[in-house]
Amino acid sequence: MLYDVTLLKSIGLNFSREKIIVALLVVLPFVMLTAATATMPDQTLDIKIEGVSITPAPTAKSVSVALYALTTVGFIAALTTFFINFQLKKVRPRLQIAGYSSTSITSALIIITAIVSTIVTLTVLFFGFLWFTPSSLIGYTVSLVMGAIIFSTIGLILSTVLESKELGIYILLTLVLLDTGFVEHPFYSRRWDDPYLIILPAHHVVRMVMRSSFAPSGVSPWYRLLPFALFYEAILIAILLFFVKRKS
Amino acid sequence: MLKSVDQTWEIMLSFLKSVVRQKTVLFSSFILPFFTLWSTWWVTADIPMAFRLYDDSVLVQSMLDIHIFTGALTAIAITSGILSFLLTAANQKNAQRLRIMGYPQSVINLGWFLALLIILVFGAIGTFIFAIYLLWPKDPIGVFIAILLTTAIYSAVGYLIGILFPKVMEGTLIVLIFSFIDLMLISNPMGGEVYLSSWTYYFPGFWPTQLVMRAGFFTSSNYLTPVLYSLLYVFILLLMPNLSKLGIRSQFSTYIKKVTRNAI
Repeated sequence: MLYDVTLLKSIGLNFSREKIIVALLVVLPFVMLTAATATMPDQTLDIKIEGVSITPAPTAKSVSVALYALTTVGFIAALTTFFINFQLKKVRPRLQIAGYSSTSITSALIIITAIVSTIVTLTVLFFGFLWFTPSSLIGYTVSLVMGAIIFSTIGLILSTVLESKELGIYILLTLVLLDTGFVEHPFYSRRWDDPYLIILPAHHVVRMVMRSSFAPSGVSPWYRLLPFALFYEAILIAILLFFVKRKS
Repeated sequence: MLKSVDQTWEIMLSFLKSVVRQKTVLFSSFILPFFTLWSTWWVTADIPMAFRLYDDSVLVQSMLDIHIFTGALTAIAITSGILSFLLTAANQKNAQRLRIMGYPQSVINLGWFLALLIILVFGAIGTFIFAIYLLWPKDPIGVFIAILLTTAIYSAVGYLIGILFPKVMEGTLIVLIFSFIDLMLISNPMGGEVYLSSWTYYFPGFWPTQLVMRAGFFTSSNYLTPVLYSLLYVFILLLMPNLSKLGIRSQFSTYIKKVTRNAI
């Protein structure tokens, strides 16, 4: 069987027992987005996508809210999956003795990851709407979910490969913060649209966020980038499976 | 008194050995600030902007130049805060054993904090050297002092959260988000409308940021105010874990419970 309901329930209950983590899922988006709106200026930014300026020009505030929503989603999704899988490392041999296959444990984990990613995205969307309305709600939601899935998979890879929890946290936090909050943030970065940043996990997702939020005319729509983001995710899943097989 | 100093020294040395043995120390103390600062320099736009400091002096400088110094503070703040938190949280069992052996709580806390600080000062020196390599400041000593103050304050922040709330994931997120919001948004001159609002003076990164801006771009720096306020901040943060011993924390929590009960 690909997944087991009892297993799914027990891993889910184990996670929900950490009440503070669950509370953080709600509090963190609020804090991050409030900080972004309070501190960013209302000045308009001349942002070019595929060489075409976005019209009407978005403000630094709205760009920051749109992108910090992605940062928040990335943080929570990556750290939550990292921790769930890290804790599961100890329990996995016991579950295998109890008769659960490695595949069913991994699929339970992926389902929980998807649920957490969805909850986080919905919370972030809820708070984001207080300050900013994207042009394409579907596009923006899909972009955030995609960001959550990509960073969750990175969290899963790191928790499988690394033995040190601290090192994993450092790598995840640095990666999410620098990628979405700085290197690919058009207000701070002069290189945010450079093609070689394609190696960064949020590269396509940031572009999806920008296109779905501000709908520039004359450039390809957000969904044209979805296959690229999915391709990146497929590569990450292949890496994850490689390490899972190697470790088991 | 002399006995306490001896014990603190003893504990500090043993903790220092235990910290150095951890691989993450090398990664976080040197690589993380270097990487953060380098990426700041690499991506920030070279656009001139005008900023005001707390003493009303006005600064017209490139966003890139400003970000090199504020980026150095952010890098060392995140490093100090998270490292200090993670190691303090992991060290709680050792601290319990030492208490059973008869060491006073305040001595354990101080010894541990000093050991952390010694490690992080190396990180601060590395960050300073890299920052001045990227952009030579008008007053290098002032920049170095600002980086040291940020290291001390955020070590104390991480240490306090590690003692009061030793849960790895939640604590890490709190330290990271707090340091990021403080140094990149609220205390940072890029922080738009809230920058220099009176309530931002109480944030830990405010005074080091003011000092680094002044030392970076003006020839004369007023060290006294930022240093005094920052040291006061560190002192208060270090004192807080010992409040329970004085009964203040329990009195405070009883008071809060009473107020809540009455309100209900």
